[in-house]
Amino acid sequence: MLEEYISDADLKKARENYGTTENPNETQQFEFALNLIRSKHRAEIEEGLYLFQNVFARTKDENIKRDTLYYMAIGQTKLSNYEQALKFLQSILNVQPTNEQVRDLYVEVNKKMKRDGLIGLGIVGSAAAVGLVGIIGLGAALLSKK
Amino acid sequence: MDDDILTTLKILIIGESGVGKSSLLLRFTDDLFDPQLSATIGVDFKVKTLNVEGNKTKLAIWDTAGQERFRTLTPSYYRGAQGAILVYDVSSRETFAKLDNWLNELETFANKPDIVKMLVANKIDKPNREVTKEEGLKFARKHSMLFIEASAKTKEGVEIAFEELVEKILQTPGLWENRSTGLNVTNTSSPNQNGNCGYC
Ligand SMILES: Nc1nc2c(ncn2[C@@H]2O[C@H](COP(=O)(O)OP(=O)(O)OP(=O)(O)O)[C@@H](O)[C@H]2O)c(=O)[nH]1
Ligand SMILES: [Mg+2]
Repeated sequence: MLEEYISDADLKKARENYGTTENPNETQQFEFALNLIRSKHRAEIEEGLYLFQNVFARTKDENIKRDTLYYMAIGQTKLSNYEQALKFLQSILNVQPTNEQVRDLYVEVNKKMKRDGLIGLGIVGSAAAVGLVGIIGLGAALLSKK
Repeated sequence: MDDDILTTLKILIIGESGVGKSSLLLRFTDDLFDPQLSATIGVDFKVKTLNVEGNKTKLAIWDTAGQERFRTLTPSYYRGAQGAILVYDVSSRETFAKLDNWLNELETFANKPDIVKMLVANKIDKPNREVTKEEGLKFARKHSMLFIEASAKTKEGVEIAFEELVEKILQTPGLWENRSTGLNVTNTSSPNQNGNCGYC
């Protein structure tokens, strides 16, 4: 998932498609955000993160919330915001401690972070990141109500 | 250690959410069953080495999520697959009725024309069966697929499903022999493969 990218052409198509959708429902929002997050370009990944944030806030579906956190973690990892990514994954693991798919990604992100030698550096500065900090707490709170 | 591996095959598992795709895979790779397995997020990936008739074969297995919201994501994983496992749940007629859609998607996005398809009727341990074996068999025949009834819970049919699929792929030369990675029978001194490199 971390090494899988969408082509610019496909993303353009998806954007046109999404643009003509009136009042997109949460599934359609999710799908478009997922396409954005698969982009090679930073700006589009950030756009995807923002959209996922909206989906997270509006959905009542626990599974969609979880999936949203997972993909936000992938987006943040692509932007090298590893600590943020790990926090999202941890908030899923707090609720589903045995979810292997999430554990695998956690380990992978952790490795990447160490490799990049960014431990302790934090990620202050990115507007998207600041916006998302609030969500982690919210995510953990909502998910753990279950 | 990898030296004696004949080839690596890409296998795909598709079907409606909840039919037991991940459970079949977990049973196959780890011999485990989790009654509370959580739904797959997007796509999951597992590797397993299988010995088929003395040939060590490495399987790269892509387990896709059946949930609607991943429909735009999963087709990008179909490319290059040599085998596909289509799963339905015998206790849910709806998952059987949706098989046509999955086949359609497979035909649209998988790019190997003679990809080997296996239909797996899962959850045969359940008492409330809605789809008979005959119906499954008939569907499989109609679409030239292998067919097996299985239960990830009791293990029945699981291993054999993967084995038969791999056997069939290995018997379909066009699917793998001409690939540059597939020709590595590495205990012979490697012949110059430029003449038949599948990517050239
Ligand atoms: N009784 C019984 N239950 C099963 C069997 N296989 C899977 N299940 C249960 O069915 C539920 C769904 O199984 P999964 O393997 O997560 O289904 P999936 O097809 O991977 O679903 P998605 O990831 O959402 O596409 C789980 O609670 C499993 O424990 C089986 O053979 N028998
Ligand atoms: Mg699954």
